[in-house]
Amino acid sequence: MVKELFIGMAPGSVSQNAGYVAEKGWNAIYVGEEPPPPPPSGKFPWLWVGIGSAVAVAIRTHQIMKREKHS
Amino acid sequence: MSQIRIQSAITSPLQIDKSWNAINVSQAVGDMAFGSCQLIDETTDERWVARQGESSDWPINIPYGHLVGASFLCENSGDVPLDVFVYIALIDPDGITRAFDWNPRGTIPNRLNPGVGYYSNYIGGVQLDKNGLWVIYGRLEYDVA
Repeated sequence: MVKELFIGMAPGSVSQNAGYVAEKGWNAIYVGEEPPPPPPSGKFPWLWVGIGSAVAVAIRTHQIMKREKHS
Repeated sequence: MSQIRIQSAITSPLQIDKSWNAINVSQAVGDMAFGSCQLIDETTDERWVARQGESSDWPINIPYGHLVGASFLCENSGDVPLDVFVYIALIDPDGITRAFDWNPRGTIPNRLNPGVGYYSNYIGGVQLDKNGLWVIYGRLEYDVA
């Protein structure tokens, strides 16, 4: 019985420093989705300022022309 | 027939024997246990801990782009002092190790007496730039001191 316990272990070769290993994994983080791409206005702010200004000028011009026609 | 019996009695004296199961010798076996694991969202400074043997709300849903870090606790749960080498890694959804810390064999081990715990080094500054499940991986290599 005792012999069976030591099968594979030659006398004197049994080391107290035989290495042991333990491993574990944690499912830690779930990342859902990528952030949406930035709107194009973020890239060309001067363009939208320009378009807005042009529209404002056009509306104002239209109003003035209307007023002149009536008068 | 009678001659044979006489001879047998002379050459084979009566015997009686007994044995006692007296001593049980076992080699000292080290045992390490994983304890809690700590996760930190460095972007918001939020912290979560998954304790061993307890249910947790892991995996934690963290937004894309945040920076995170982690560490874990281990403990000598055996009866003998151990020399422990600790490995920790953060692995992205594609199985790529994005950060790790390790004191391999050949370096100075962490000597832990029975019942003593030890925190792995902290790995941080990892940006979550992939969708999916990120895993914290711990590995302990240990020898009887």
